[in-house]
Amino acid sequence: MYGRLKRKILYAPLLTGMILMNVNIAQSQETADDFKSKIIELEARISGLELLKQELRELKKNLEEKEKTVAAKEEKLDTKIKSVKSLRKTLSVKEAQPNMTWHLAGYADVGFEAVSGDTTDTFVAGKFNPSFHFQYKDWLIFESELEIITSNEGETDIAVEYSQLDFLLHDNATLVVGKFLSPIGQFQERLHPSWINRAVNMPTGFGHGGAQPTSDVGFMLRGGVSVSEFIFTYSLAAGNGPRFGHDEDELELEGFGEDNDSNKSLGGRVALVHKSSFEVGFSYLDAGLSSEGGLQDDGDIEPAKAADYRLWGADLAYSKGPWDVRAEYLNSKSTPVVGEDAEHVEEEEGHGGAEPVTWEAWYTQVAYRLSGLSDNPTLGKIEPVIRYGEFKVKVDDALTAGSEKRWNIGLNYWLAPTIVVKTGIERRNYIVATRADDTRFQLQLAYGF
Amino acid sequence: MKIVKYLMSVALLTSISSGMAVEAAEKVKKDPKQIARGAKSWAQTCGRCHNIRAPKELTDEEWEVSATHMRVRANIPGDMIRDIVAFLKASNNEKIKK
Repeated sequence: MYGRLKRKILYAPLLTGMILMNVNIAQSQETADDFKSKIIELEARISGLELLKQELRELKKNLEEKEKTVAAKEEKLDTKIKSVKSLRKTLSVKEAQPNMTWHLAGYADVGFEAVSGDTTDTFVAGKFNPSFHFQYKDWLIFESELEIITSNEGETDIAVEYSQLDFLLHDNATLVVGKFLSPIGQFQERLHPSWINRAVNMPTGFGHGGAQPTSDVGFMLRGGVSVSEFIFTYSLAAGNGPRFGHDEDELELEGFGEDNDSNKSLGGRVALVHKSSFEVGFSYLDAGLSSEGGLQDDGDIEPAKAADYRLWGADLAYSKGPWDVRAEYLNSKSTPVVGEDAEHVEEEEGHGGAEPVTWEAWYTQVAYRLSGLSDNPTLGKIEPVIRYGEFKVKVDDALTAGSEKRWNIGLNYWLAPTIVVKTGIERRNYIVATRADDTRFQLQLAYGF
Repeated sequence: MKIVKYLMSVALLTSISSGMAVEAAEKVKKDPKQIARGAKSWAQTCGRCHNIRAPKELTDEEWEVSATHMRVRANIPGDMIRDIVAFLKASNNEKIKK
């Protein structure tokens, strides 16, 4: 037993060593295979790396080519950007400082009028007066206003109110050439647009068919000079002047495109405006009237005649805060010329003869915006207005049928600074008894733009 | 070295003096009181005949033309008109910034 155990003990290490030896041999055999396979694997990897290297080279080459292409494109783009920037700069300069700028302005109105004792209550188409202003740099402006109205017969009448070139000679002097609104007084030139006029109609004797020329064709020197707390303003004009009208108590007072005689009208207005918004102005106009006479359209024979036409006027204004107070007086006279100064003139009694004619027109007007009394926004837009005026036309000291006294009482509601709804009552008392008085109820919507 | 210092000094003086010249020119161009004067004139002269329009009603360009028209019509001196236009433009631009 012991011998067996001893043998076993002796054999055990031997067996163990043999086993281990076998294992080692087996292991050494696997490493060689592995090595071979690893070599193969490494060779494969090396070849893969070579391929990658080649690919990288190709990629690098491609990249370099693309970089070159991109650089070329960038260069082209830069050139284009520069040209676009240059163009934009040029265009922006043109936008910022154009030689010619313009502005469309004007006004329009519509309304309704009911006349007492008359069946002609009517909607009033009103008028549309577009005004164009084209300015060249800072020394010239062309301006023109058209008056487009629908006549009682349904026709569209278009008239040129003014069309003038203004040369801005100096801060205090502008030369106006063309057809211009008469500078006489303040209403005709500055207050007649319906969104500025506080009442529905013009004062009696002012505007078309009134005591003064509405426009003239010629030239005018005008401007303003600041003197201490005042601005001295002047408008001195020379033009073709007025002409005789069809009736003896009428003159054609629109500007004529051609003079029918060599008599030019000379006149204008000077005014002082205080910084307190008080303005006082004086006007004067001298012109000659002449007519060769002849057969008229209606068959009447018009005798040759000539006259001196002289007008003078004064106006006052105070417009500050809620107050707008104005007064204006005009007096014009047509005196027949006889004797050596008018060799061809034939005096004739009655219709068509040269009679002395005087036109006298005046008005005073007060408007007050209720914003001066209340902070309420609705009340503040309401403006009561009252105006009284007279217009007297005398032919050889006899009043004509058109002479009248006129009251206007109105209430305006300002929807915006240039949009107004005007309501008014106008009472016309005709001085000559042959004509019946009338009262007019008026509504007008005016828009200045 | 002296030459470099000299050149740098000259360059510095030149840039300062040119900067001052530009600033002086801008001062001449931009009269700080012009807008205030324009606001006053705008209120006084425009309201003589009609209600005053808000500056935002017209563009800067339109104000230029409209103001020239009113300069002629109302016999407003040119320098006063320039003040008024400066005020109107400043008011318009202020609104745009807001």
